[in-house]
Amino acid sequence: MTFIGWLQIGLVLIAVLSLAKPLGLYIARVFSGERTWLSPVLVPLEACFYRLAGVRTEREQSWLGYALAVLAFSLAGFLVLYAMLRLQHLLPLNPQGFAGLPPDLAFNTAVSFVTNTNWQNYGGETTMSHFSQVAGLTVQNFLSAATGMAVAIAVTRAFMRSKVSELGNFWVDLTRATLYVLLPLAIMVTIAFIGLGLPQSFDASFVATTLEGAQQTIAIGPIASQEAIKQLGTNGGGFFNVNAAHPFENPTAFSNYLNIIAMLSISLAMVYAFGQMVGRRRQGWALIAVTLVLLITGIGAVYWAETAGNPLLHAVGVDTLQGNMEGKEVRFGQAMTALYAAVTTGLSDGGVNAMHSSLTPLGGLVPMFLIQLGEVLPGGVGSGLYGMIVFAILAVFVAGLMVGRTPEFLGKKIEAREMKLAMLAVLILPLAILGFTTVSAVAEFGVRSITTPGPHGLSEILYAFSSAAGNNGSAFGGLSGNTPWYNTTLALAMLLGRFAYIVPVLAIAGSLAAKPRAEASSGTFPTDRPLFVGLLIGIILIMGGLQFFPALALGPIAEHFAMLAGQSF
Amino acid sequence: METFAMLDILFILLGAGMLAALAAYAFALDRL
Repeated sequence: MTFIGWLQIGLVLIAVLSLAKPLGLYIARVFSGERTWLSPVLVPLEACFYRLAGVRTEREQSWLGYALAVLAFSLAGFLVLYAMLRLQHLLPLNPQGFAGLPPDLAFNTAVSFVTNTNWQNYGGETTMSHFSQVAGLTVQNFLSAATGMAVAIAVTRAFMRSKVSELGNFWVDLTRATLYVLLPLAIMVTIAFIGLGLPQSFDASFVATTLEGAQQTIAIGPIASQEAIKQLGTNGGGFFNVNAAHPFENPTAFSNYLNIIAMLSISLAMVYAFGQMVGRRRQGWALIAVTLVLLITGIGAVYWAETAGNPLLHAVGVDTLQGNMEGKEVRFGQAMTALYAAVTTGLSDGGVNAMHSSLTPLGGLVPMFLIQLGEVLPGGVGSGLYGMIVFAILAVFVAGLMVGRTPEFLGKKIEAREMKLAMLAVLILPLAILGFTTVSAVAEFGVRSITTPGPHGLSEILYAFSSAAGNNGSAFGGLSGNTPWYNTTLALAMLLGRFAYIVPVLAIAGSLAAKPRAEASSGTFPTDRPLFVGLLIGIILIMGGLQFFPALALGPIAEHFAMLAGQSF
Repeated sequence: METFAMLDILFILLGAGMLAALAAYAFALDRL
């Protein structure tokens, strides 16, 4: 690790933190229905959408109505995208002449993009037509991100309101998230990316002459626009197979900075917006502090592990100064690779600028564990906020048990119903991850997809299902996931991790909105102080550790000790 | 082609079925 490396990391984090307040205030105004600087242009457009869709903006929904709207909208998105991918050979903008995707791959991809996972069991430049990329995948990048933001705002309103059953109107929240937040930011970031050298074209490819004089066909497409929403919406699905390691997706160190800033900006701003909307800005900063402590620890762990490198390679004379550079891009280096790896898995982004399977065992453990902690650091653009709130509810419950008082969070008493629902939400992740991993690790049809034997092979499977259930989308890369078994089971894990979490979370919101707000008293446990920040960090780590440490011990930890004993995989 | 049509129906039913099951889950939680 070097001072320059940490300086680079620090500059990116400072840039993101500087954006949290202004963007968070803007997001709070958008979802509170207040006028913004974009209102003169967007209000008429917004009204037009509502008229076309028959949406009555003054009609709000109960938690059940909101949840059913989320599910119905996602079902429609899944059906449309599935059809598009199966029939892409009949649709326009297919200069490459790609055939329709096979049914299992289309199923996996459609579910993947509708759930904001963007797990890709295919190489984009060899499989997807431009129409599928632009009208299918990129559209779902916007809509799935907006869906997550809408759910997070519904949960926020539960703390703002009392003795009501309505949480808002999903269609209004979805439209506002898309029109006022995601689209303007995506346009700005796309223009910046084009300026930084990312291609934006509807050509299939171009032919280049190499230095040796040979002709090389290089795939190209609408990369800048896809990259922008890929990061802003914490989607992660890249145009190319190697994602942000490809020089067309991420050509320079500066585009790498912009990638990471784009990834983090909305998620952190949503947490600030939460504090602003509930009238407790310190609460927003407290939750951001939890995120930063754990994220910086993760970044440091990856940076340390990768710069320490592989002792087996050092023993045969490989230069130790650079650490483990396998799978990494020289233009980014160790620090920015470590930052990207930790951020993409602390968020639910899933884009990668290095191959995670090539990380050292402990370097690979950290991204995996960050996903398994629940994707709340800071998590997806919406899912991170509501995931963090669920952990906060668990934390105040534990605090309440310790002191013998009814737990309350932001004036809302946390009672048996909320705790049952919180546990239903929290337990879906280990159920999906460990359940599917177990079957895949023992059944022949699961094991034959592993390319590396031993503990690294288990890590490949464990990472795949962690990524799917956590709606992350990054992969270890060594697993041949494009098989009927993995296409189907990863899709099921994605659906469970997304919607089987959203449903109880909205139920908690409905329950809290119906409660009266309790005034703070001398016995109220303050949730915006360092003690609560420490407690919440502990709860997140203990939950993740208890649930996943045994599996991690059999995978990356075993691999690390095997490496120290002289065995590589 | 027929095999593909059958698989299409299967996967569509699987996806829609999962979402329908989650809707039923929501109704069940409403009664909890």
